[in-house]
Formats: sequence, structure tokens, C-alpha cells
Amino acid sequence: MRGFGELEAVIMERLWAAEGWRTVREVLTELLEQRQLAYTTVMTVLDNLHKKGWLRKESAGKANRYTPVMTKEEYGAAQMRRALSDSGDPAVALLKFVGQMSPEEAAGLRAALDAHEGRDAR
Amino acid sequence: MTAALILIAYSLALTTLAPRILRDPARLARAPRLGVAVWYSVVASAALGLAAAAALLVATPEHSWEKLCHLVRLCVEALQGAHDWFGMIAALAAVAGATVAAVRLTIAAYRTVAASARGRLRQARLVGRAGRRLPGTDATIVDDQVAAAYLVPGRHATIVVTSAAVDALSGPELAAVIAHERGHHSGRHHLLVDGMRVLTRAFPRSRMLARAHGQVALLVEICADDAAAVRHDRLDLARALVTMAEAASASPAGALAATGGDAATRVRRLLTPPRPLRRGTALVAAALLGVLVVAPVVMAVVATVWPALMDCPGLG
Repeated sequence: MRGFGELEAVIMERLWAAEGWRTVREVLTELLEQRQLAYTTVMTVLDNLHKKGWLRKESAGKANRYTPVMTKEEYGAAQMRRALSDSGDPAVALLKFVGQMSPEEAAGLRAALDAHEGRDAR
Repeated sequence: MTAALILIAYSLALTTLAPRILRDPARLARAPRLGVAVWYSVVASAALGLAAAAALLVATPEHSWEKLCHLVRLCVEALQGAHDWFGMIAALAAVAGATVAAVRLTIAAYRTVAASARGRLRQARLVGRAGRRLPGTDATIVDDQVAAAYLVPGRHATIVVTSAAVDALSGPELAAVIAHERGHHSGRHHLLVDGMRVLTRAFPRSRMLARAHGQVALLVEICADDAAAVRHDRLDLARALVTMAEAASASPAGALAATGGDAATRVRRLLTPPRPLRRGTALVAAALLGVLVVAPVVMAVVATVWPALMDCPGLG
């Protein structure tokens, strides 16, 4: 699963905010308030997003309508799962606060801490 | 030739003995930054010993001052057989060994740097997209059921904590964890770990490098613990460490890379901090490390210069 390109991200944000189906023309009209874009550009990006599996497409008369396959929250969660599975990859080499260990080892740590705090309390 | 053999023996002795002498990380943990320096010095000294031996084998000097300066010419001469056949074989072996080592190091360095840069950039982007700023801190919070915290190091440095960690830790504990990760960032610890990663990748069969890598990884954690302990309670950090360790052990990836021993060393050290080394002791230790690193070079230079000095009129 890859992240979005810059324009793809803008368009996905629009579609998530819209909650429902949008045609190319509708997306373009909203985007034109902020930036200069050609109709064909928006159409291509929407079609690419559909091919990549991010958007559902249906035809509405002459034009096509699009809506996101997953909600923004689902997308965020999926991205996050990927980030966290990456963080276990030694090639990525992050500095983790604590590494992996067995439950026995973790229990040993807890015992050492409890013993220390018990001593402090006395 | 004798000097070269002595240098090779020196390097082999160092690579065999150092991992045994330094087996217990608790010893170096007393002064973690010095400990990192110890490992890098040992590795540098052993490497320089081998490099100097190779240089001596290639440039077998005739006993005169003029020829000492012409390493390259001597090298060519050696390969053309200007010296005895045994010397020639030794020179060839030295050149071959040095070339193999250089190629392996280059490939390992390239792979490590490229993979980390790619992975870290991807991490930073993912976290940037899926995370949100934890109010009042410089950390990013991401939603996940497993309590974890880590630093994405480098140019796009980001401290990441999961929502489960925020829930599981008290305010002071969370602040101590974030300070720990900030300590990694300001200490540029990823570079220290990456350096060892390159070496162990280039020479995966070296036991000394494996141990050096493992201990440097632990020592930078201890450095970060110390950095956090400046402003935060050690006990808070220890509690956070134990809580996060329990979370890590309960997650399915549990048995991938066991570092339970490291965590135990850290907890013990947080609960009963060792007396720091006295300033004088630390300075002496640092000076000794300097001697360790230059020793093989000095040996090689002396071995080269000594016979020539003996030939000087009025000396020897």
C-alpha cells in the first residue's frame, strides 16, 4: 500500500469531506476555488485512484461518479498498521524505547521493579 | 615482514580478547558514552593493525630514506617481483585482502544507508499522515493497541508514541519516555548504531563486531536513559520501561529479536544508578583509548623507520 501523491491527497481529502458520490465536474469546481486545474487532469487523477483501488466508480449518465472505498479513519488505521509493522523491520532502524522480549523476561522486570518499590515504601 | 606478522597477531589477539574482556555490558554501562568510544576504538585499532600490516607487506622497504616515501612505486615493484617470491605472495595476499575488505565495506555502507534513508523517510511520511501532535509535546501520537514509543531518526526526525502507550503511562512516565527519545535525537545515536550495522553487515562472521554492535545498541539506550534522567525521575522511566516491556512481550511479534537482557540491564541501572566515573578516571580512560587507536600505526611507522635510522651515519 503506497501513500498518495500531492494532488491525489488533495482530491481524496475532498471526497472524504464530501461523504457521497462526486462527478469529475463537481470535484473540479470545488478545487478551482484554490488552484488552477484542467478538467482532464482531475479526470485522470480520479481514474488512477480508481485503478489503484481507492475509489469506487459508477457511471451517471455521460459522466462518471466516484466515492472512496474506505473512510478516512480506515485509511489512517491501515497506514498506521503499515507504519508499525515497518517499525519492527531492522532495515528501517528506528530507535525503539524498548525492544522485543519474552513474557518471562517482562515478568522478571516487573518483579525487579516491585521489589525496589516495596523496599522504598518501607 | 616480522613487523607485519606482529601487527596481524596484535589485531587477531584484540578481536579475540576484547569481546571476552568486555562481555558484561554492565561494566561499560557505568560510563555509557565512554563505553561506545571503547568499542569504536577497539574496532578501529584492530582494523588499523591489519591495514598497517598490509601496507608493510606491500611496501617492503629497502633500507634507505628515499624509498620510504614512494609507497606506490614500492607497491608496483613488489607486484612485478622486485622482491623475493615469498614477499611477492604476501604482498599479493595483502592487496587482495584489502580490496575485498574495501569492497565489502562499501557495499554494506551503501545498502545500510540507502535502506535506512528509504525506510525512515517512509516512516516519517506515514506517521506524518496518520498521526497527530500530542498536545504540549514534540511527539506524534498514532492510534494502535500496542503500547510503543520510538524515534524515527535522521533529517525527518519524529518521536512517535502509540495511543495505547499514552493510555498505559502516567503523565510523568510519558514525559520521561519522550525525553528518552529526544536524547537519542540530540545525541545522534542512530549514526553510532548505523556505523556498527555497516561493519557487522560487511563482516557478518566476526564475533567481535557482533558483540560491539549489540553493546553499542544497549549503550546508546543507556545514554538516552541518562539524558531523560536529568529532568525526569528515574523511577518514572523505569516504570514506563517495565510497562512498555510487558506490552511488547504480549504483542505477536514477541520473539523476533529478544532484547530482554538489555531491558533488564537498563531497569537495574535506573533503580540503582552506579556512581559515575570520576572525571580524572574518565580522562585517563579516554587517553588510553587514543593510545589504543594509534598504537598499530606507531608500530608500523617505527618498523619502517627503524632500520633506516640504523643506517644513518653517526647513529646505530
